Amino acid sequence: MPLLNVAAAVPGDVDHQRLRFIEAVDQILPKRTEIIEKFDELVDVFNDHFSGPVGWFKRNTFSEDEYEDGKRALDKIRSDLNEREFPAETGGGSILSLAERVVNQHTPVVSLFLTSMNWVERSMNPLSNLYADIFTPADGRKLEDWDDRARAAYDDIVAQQQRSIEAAKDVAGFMSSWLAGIADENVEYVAFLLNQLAEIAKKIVAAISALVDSFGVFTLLELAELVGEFVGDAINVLGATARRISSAIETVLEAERVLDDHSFFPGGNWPAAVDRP
Amino acid sequence: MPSIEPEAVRNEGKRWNGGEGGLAARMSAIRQDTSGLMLGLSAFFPGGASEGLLHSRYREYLDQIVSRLEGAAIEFELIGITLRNIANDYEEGDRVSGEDFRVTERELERATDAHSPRPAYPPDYRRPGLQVY
Repeated sequence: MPLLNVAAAVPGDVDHQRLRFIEAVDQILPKRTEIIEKFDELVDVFNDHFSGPVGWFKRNTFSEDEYEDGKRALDKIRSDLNEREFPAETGGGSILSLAERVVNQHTPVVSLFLTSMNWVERSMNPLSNLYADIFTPADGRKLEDWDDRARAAYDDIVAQQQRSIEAAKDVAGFMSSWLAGIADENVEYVAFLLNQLAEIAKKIVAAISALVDSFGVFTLLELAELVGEFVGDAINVLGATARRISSAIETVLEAERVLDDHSFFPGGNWPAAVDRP
Repeated sequence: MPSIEPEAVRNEGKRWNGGEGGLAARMSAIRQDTSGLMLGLSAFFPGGASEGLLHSRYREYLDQIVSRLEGAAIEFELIGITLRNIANDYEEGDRVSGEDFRVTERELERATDAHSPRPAYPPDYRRPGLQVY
């Protein structure tokens, strides 16, 4: 078991998550655009219903309440999409601005996945090989005859160096796992955001279809309520995910336990194997 | 009683040094690869508020790990040097003990130079004849 009780990341799993992340981000902008376009279409359907001489008559007579309720519903949808503020941990702004920000700023996050894999492949695994090789003498059989006090001192030195290699290997594994954990949260973040955007777009499309078939303000009222719920859920879930990412600062402190352990790294240094002048 | 073979001790020393495939060279390569694991400021989250803290903490640990690995490569080189010296002592019939695992100032400097990262340009880059204005 590693010294930090944390298994290293599995590069194949991290790469799978990297692909999920990219796939989700790729769909965010089209969904955002679809929401904007479909909302405009929805407003057109509403305005068309109340325009012209017939529409003017409906708006000012028996359908006045329906007109006012519809307008309020559309305003609420617009406000939920465009103005309802997300928590500061997410970077703030509305769901539409957040979506745009995620798309514009996602590229550096891809390096998080790659670096997690590289901690395993370029640091932990080579250290692990070194750990295994350190006790394999060059001239095994001939070195067996070296059995004086110098040999005993040498064996102690090798054992001490090997313990520190193991500690460094475990810290490298821990770093891979720490980054993979943050990367996983990012995947959940973009996947949930995409899901909410897709649901909102789907409900607006369905509302347009329903209104074209048979106009009724209850369709708009229901849509306003649903969009409000989807945005509200996004605020709660994405806010919580962003807070978990922030709190990763606490879990990385675990690495300090090994890095500061004097039996592995006395005085914060690699242990001296030989005496200095 | 079998006698100690100085050549076997010398070969054991070569195993540790910075030559190709040596443990010090391998550790130096790991240090270099690990130092390349830097992340940009906005790599932790797209547009959130906490990247700065995560980034600075990550950088701090990365620097610490890289510094320890650099120390390891130097130490391995020194083990190789002392084993070579001990092999020489055996050859000359000297008594050898655990206290012979020590290095001179010059040997320490040589090992440090071999495994410390160099600046992009050597400090004497602007020496006469190579001045760049």
